[in-house]
Amino acid sequence: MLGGTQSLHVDTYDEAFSVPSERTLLPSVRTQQIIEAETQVTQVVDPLAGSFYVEALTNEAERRVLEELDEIERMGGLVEVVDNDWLHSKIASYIQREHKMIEEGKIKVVGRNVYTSKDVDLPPIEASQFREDVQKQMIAKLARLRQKRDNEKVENTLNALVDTCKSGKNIMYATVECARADATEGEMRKAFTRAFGTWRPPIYA
Amino acid sequence: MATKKIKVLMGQFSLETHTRGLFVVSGMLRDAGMEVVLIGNATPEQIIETAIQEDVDAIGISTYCGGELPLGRDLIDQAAKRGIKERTAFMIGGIFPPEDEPQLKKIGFDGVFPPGAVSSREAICDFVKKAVESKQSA
Repeated sequence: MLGGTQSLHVDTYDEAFSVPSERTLLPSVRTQQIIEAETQVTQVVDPLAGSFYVEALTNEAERRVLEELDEIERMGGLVEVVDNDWLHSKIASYIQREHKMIEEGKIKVVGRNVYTSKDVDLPPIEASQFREDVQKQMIAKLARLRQKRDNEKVENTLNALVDTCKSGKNIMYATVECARADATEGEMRKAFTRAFGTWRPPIYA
Repeated sequence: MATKKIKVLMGQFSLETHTRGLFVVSGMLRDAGMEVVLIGNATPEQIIETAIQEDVDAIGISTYCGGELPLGRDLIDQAAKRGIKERTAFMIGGIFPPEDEPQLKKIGFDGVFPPGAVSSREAICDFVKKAVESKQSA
């Protein structure tokens, strides 16, 4: 909010588990409404502008980002550092180091390694249930589509998409043709895999 | 008696986009002296195929996006079909509805790790060691 955000979404406490319910959404909506209605923060653009501390942090963050980008450029660019595993190894080792710091209490996480309570009564998580009937309906709908469409045309447009991908030309027109022939997203995705192969994360032992 | 290094295959199902848990737990197991093979995103079939090729002792799945019940069931079914279910320890961890935990155990996961203290470094590493031991002595 203080950074001048144009959109704010407060997650519900059960958001990680499933689509939230109206009951769990209420505290999130109320949180947003309190910020909007009671603080008047939306009446001013960038209220922290000029704060020596925030400006210094912003400059420091910017400096470090540019430093990282320079390093990646020196190594041959983003594609190169993904290909040679540098980027993912760096991310993996960073989050492992960060996790250790949480375990050691060097990074504090309230409720986890600081201010923890043993017998806290957590609110129940009522995850919305996966509906098998919906799954069956969707599969049946897909089967109907595959039966009624011109499958030879689908095959041809998908093959043309593969060729376009390999040629290095703009793939948008070929993709639109696939969609017009009622090819599914999954089938188009498979065409991309046929043309480009697939990326696998670095395997380390 | 020389003990063989425990070898664990770590992966997640095809549509999972969250990798933090996978990387963190893989690092924990490696720090505990185990050999980790990280497969990343894969179908149950691909995971079991790799498990056979790499001759692993345990399989760990990280999950958050959902679908852990049907895909978990597929994974264990594939393992049974390919004849490695009895000798492999199966673990799954991440974020899933609390009521899915007993279901995952019923499906055949030896260890189920939801968020919290029950999934600490010590708890996970000890579990893997014991599960592999008991599978292999059975």
